[in-house]
Amino acid sequence: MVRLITHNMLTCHVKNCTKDNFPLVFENVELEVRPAEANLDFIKRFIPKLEWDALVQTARSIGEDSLPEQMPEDKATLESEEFLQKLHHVLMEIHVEEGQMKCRGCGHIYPISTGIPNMLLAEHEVGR
Amino acid sequence: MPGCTIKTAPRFTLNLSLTNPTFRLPDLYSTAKLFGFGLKIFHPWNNHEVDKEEDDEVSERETWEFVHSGRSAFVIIGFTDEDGREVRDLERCLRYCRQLGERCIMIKSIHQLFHHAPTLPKLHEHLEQTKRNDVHLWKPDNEEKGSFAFDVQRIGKRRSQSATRTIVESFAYMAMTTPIRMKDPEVLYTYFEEYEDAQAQERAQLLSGQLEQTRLDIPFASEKDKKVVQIDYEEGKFVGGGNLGFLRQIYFGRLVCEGSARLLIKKFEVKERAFYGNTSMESEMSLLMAGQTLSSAGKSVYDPFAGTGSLLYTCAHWGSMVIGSDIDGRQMRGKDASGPGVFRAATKYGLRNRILDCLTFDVTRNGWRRGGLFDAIITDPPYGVRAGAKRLGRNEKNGRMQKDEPVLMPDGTYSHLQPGYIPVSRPYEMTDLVYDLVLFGRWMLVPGGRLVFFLPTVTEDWDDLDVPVVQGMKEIKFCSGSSQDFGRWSRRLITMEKTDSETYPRPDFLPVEMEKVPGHHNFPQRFMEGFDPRPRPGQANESA
Repeated sequence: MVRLITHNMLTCHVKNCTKDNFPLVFENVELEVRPAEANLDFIKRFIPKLEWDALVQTARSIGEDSLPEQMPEDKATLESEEFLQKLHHVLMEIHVEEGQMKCRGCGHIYPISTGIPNMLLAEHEVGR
Repeated sequence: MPGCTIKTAPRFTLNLSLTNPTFRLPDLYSTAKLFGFGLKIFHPWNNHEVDKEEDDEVSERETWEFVHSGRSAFVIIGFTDEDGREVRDLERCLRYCRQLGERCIMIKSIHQLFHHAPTLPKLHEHLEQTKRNDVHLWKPDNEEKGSFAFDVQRIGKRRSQSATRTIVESFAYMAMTTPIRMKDPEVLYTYFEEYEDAQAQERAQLLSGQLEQTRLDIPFASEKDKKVVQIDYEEGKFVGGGNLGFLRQIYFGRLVCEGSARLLIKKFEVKERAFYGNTSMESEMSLLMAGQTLSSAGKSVYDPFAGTGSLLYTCAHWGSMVIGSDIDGRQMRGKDASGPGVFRAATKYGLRNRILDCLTFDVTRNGWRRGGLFDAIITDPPYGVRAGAKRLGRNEKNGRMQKDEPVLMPDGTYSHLQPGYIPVSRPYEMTDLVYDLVLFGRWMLVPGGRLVFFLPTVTEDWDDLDVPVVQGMKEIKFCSGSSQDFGRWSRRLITMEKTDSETYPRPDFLPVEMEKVPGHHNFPQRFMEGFDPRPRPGQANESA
């Protein structure tokens, strides 16, 4: 159930991993698409918190290419129902149920099992 | 409303739950804030003139203390607009009432107040006067509605058929022309008699320090005391009845709405849930906490010690999109093979879609990309002996140092990449946790966002200073604050608000030195030891 909205909020947090630690790369994923009631207000409020490039790149990596490369610049398009619905689908309806997320920087693998990612770190990966 | 000449702002009586009274004011004021109106609160016993402007700040503070003490089930309220002016439009007030009734867990029912008085003759005197002056509040009901009924309730006193009949008949001068219909009447006139028992009074005096000793070992009410006795309405007292209370106040008005939010206590009952643990929070508290987050559609809420998800469901119920994390993924998953427990329970509530995600991680080693993500953070940090809070890293006090390199197994693989690897963890000291939580909230909340959490504390050592004071976060507190007491320890509900729009740094989660050792320091251990008081300075360790 890792949704792309959650994925967009997460980075690698291994000690001293500061380069290429976002976005994490999905690997060996099993996807599920579950229709969800749209809350476009929520989506609209979330747009400023998104990393657009990372979202588009990640969505494409799992075969979802409905989003434009660039975030629409004019407010009218950005807040149009059509665009928000599209965004709702990508952010909220696609779930990664199994697989893993890999850091491009340090190579740490965060496994995902039954929709819950394990983001715990090993002893040598945390500071004191 | 045509034909209605209300010169003064309408007043309403709230009938409140008598349990957990220290949660009343936060519940009421948070709901008012959420819906964007102001509240004026009046003492239910003081005989203020209903049309007198009372914006004396001192009297409001005293009334808060009174509501907070739980001495009465009732409070009288009015509404104010954004400029602090009283709202006089009845329809608008009724809308606010319904919003309170739908959201406030502490409200049993809301009534438009016609009048309140210490005795029945005084009540009638006033009501008959309004009728003579043609400003009686039931006038529109008589002209526009189709039916009515009377409901007589006596709080703190046994019901009596004959007394009820006498009371209803004494209202004959209302001269209602619409028919009485007991089932689903259009208008329900409500009459409350409130009694106060001597013990409740003593208890309150004891709490406020006016009394040093109490006779609380007196049996509550003997069988003899329980028998129905006659009321002397002139005196406002019972005739006979030893320990029984006396008539405090009568409230007469019409029902606006029942408190529908109270039904949620049953809906979210832990034992009825598809999935729960032995430390899952009881539903009433989960709901009261969710209320403090100002949850509503379009908001995002995060619980960093989600456990079995109790707080996620109630926030999601009010429309928030919620995320939970926990260092122990087994808490969220449960043992059932049919899928993670939190998702199953949420599905049963019809809230699955509002759980954005659940993640296994240690909030002190969190992977959040940036701050300012959430409208609220809500949490009940683990404080029990068995389920005490944990964080990643080795407990070096036990002699072994934390490793800086991965461990290579004889077969050439790394130990941390083995299936089923569980990273080492160490206790997360309560003092550090609470301080970190406040700094985390300041980093992670949007401006005006709220941090809501339960703080376990040793009652004797509690001090207001125990809630960390940092720039940018302010505690929202009424009177002495909200708490659930369990004798030597208590759980305090802390609500804090991010007061500015500064961007604060990610907290470093390093141990803190506090000038005063807070009442929650070392809580699990002290829980186990039965809360022996800490040695005070000057008498420390003389025997050691």
